[in-house]
Parts: sequence; C-alpha cells; structure tokens
Amino acid sequence: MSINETLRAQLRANKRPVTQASVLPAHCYSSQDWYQDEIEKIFMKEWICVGRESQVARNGDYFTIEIGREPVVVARDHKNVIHAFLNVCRHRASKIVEGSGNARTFVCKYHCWTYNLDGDLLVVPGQPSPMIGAEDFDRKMYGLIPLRIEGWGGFLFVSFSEEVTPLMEWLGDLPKFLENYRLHEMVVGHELSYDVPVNWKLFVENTMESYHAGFLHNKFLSPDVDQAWKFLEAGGPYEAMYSDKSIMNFGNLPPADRLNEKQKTGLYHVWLHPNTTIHVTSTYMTYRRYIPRGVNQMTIMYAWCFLPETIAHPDFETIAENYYKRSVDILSEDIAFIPKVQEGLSSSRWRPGRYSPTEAIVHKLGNYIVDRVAGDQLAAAAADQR
Amino acid sequence: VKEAAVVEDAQEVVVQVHTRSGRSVSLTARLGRRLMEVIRDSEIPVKAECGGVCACATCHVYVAPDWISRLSPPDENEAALLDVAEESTQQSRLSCQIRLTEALDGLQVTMAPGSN
Repeated sequence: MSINETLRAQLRANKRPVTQASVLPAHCYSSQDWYQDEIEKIFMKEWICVGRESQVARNGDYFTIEIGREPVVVARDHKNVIHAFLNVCRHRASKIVEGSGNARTFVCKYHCWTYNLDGDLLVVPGQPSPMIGAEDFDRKMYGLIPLRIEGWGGFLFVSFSEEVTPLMEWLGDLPKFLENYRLHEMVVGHELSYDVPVNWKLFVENTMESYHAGFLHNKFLSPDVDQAWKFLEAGGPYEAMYSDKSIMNFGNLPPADRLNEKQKTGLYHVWLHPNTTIHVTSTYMTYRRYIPRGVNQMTIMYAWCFLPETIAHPDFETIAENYYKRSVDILSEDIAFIPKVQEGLSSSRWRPGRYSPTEAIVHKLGNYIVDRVAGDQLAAAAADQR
Repeated sequence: VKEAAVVEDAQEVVVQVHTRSGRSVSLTARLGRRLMEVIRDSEIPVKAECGGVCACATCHVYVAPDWISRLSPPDENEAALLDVAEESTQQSRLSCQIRLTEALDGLQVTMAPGSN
C-alpha cells in the first residue's frame, strides 16, 4: 500500500504525544488496503488470544475460530496435548470442521480424508484406494498444517509467525501484574457473541476509554462522577488503566482471596495486543475478543469468568445474572451506537479530531496501528527528506 | 441373554449385539450387509459419524473372542483408525468394515466406548 502525503501527515499527527496528537484518519477504518495490511502485519505476526483452555477441557474437544482469512481449529488430542491447525483439508482445501465439539478424528466431508487430532492424515478412504497411481503419495506428508499455540492464565494464544518470541516472553510483565487474580483457575460462567458492522478497532477503542460512559451510558453512570482513571506504565504488549469508580465496578460477590487493597476496591481495564481486552475486578474477570471480518465488519466475543469458590457462593446464580444483564445493557448501547462512527468515517471531507487525555489508551492503540502498518514507510519518507 | 434365533432363510444371519447399557439384542440381517448399517437400523444407538466409509472410528465394537479370528483381518485404513479408537483392544473392529456372510451367523459383538 502506498501512502500519499496527506495521509502521511495525518499518521504523523497521531504519533505526537497524546496532549498534541490527532486521532487516526478515516483511511485506517475504511480502506480495504489498510485493512489487509493490518491482517498481514499485525494478525499474522502477533500472538492472538483464541479462547480459554476450558473450551478444550476433555480429550477430543475442539473449537474453531478465524484469524484474518485463516480458518483455525484448536483441539486437545487423545494423548492430552493441545494443538492448533489450519482448519483446511490438505487435499483440495475444504474447511474441515465447524463450531465446536468432541471428536475421535477430523473427517473432511468432501472425500473423507481423515486426520488424527494430532494432525496426522490417518486414512484416505475408498475401495480400491483412490490414491493408487498417485506417484510418491505419502500420507505422512499431508497432515494438517500446525500452528504455534501456547497458554497463560487459562487463555490460549495462536500465532502464525515463526519469529514471534515464546508467549511468556512476549507477555512481558503482564502475568506478574495480574497474578493475584488467579486467572488460570477461572471458569467461564457466561458468554455471548455479536456481529457488529464496524471496523474492529472502533470497538477496542470504545472499551478502552470511559470518557463516553457518563454520556452514552448516562442511564448507568452520571457524567458528574469523576472516574479518575489512572494509566499504568506497561512492561509488555498491553496497556492498562485503573479506577475505583468505573461503570463496571459492581461487586456483590465476595472478592478473591489474594487481592491487595487497591485490587479489592477498583478494577483494571487491559488492552492486550492486538484484539483482546480483559477487565479484572475484585469478583470476576471478563474478556472480549474483537474478531475482524472485513474492513467494516467484526464479531465481538464476550465471556465472564469466575473463580470456583465464587461460583460455589450460594447466591452466585442470582448475583451473576445481574452482572450479565447490566453488562449487556451497557454493551447494547455501544453496539447500537458505534455503527454511527463507522458511517461518519466513510466521509471523504472529515478531518481528524483530538484526543482527550482520558483517551490515552485509544491513542496508544492508534500509535501501535500506525507503527505496525506504516512505520517503515513513515521512516523511509523521513529519511528521504533529510 | 436371549439365544440367537434359528435362521431358516439362508439369506439372513442373526447377530447378537451387547449394548453399552448392558442389554443384549438379536438382530436379523440380510447377507452382505455391513454390520454398522444393521445396528444403525435397529434401536441400538451408534454414532457412525462418517456413514460407513472407514473414516471416523465411531462405530467401534468389540468382537467376542470366539469370533475375532473368523473375520478377515483389518486393512491398513481400518488398522490406522483402530489405533485412535477409544479404548481399543485386540477385540476391536469397526462395524462398518464387517460384511455379514453365512460364516458370521451367530456373531457376537459389544458396542465399544465412543460408539454411542
């Protein structure tokens, strides 16, 4: 993708300190080329959170997901090892499995090429064998294409990159920062997903600033409340902010046992590169994934997770139902509203506005996107001018 | 346990199937049919996800010791699938690969784990 001078100036304006920066230009939300570059330069290069380990709790369990254009299946094989594969038959490229379930083998329905859950091509059925005469055909060479998969905190991450560092190294100090929350022990209490006709970044940005909460969500939070968000210095591929007056701060269940005073009274919103957000509160954790489906189409996958002792609380069901209802009521306002931003971004005459410093993480997201997608070109253009 | 019915019509055989819940059912079948199809047409639950092409290992049965040697041995595909079938033993076969012949009249099998 080539970048013209106007766009280059707008991208540079985003790279200034948040107190001076302009928001991302419309091009970054409406250009097909820009979107394809995000997929190639971000989603094919990072660790992508694909779900929770509990989704493949038993041997034979599997679930599917898409990363960019790539269909992926995650499975726990019958020797208790978790794998990720391209969910595409090695024969003539049919997608193999859909949704989630439990299986002995993966059978492509087209010609019944059959794979073991560790990826080996087990059987090409047919009498007489349909591969008789296919020279040098060796089924050992046609196993499912494996992808890197690693875990932390009960989350599973997949990467298409051979170069990205091992997950625990990549995460930096995030595991240490969140260790009191015992995320790895948490189980999913409830989950939802919605298709929303917007660019994936718009929803991450919405989640990572609470400036709009007192306005768009004024039924739930008065604009007079100073949420007093504090932004953290992150030592890893994430950004985090803290408040004890957030719209999401509802804690009618007992707090987790190892939290310090700050963790007991407030909550953190974490954006983990590129498309995951995690909210940790004293009584629950939610995480969202924003799955790009096209330049102006995405799916939001939203899950609430709890510690086993929280679920064992006698009033858990009733209290948790209220959590879900309140969260979904708030989320529904965002889902209804954000498409109006996407509509506005189709304008060719709009010029980028300014950030409120309370939108510091929206600015960090902008910078991350600019660096990954256009960093090389901005640097080359700067070198030319010297 | 019921005794296998005496077959008068030579075009049919009787197979005794022990279910996962411990019942024993006699099934009468035409010669030449695959055992999986006969089970699927009965009240006995069987997954047989691939429909009988020797691809999924979910029509797995244990063949009674007296009978296992009377079957033709598994081919390469069936052997590969028996390797991954749940709780596979020396008695394991895929019922979609058992074609019923006169010699198999009276065959006894038990539905294996993962088949229902």
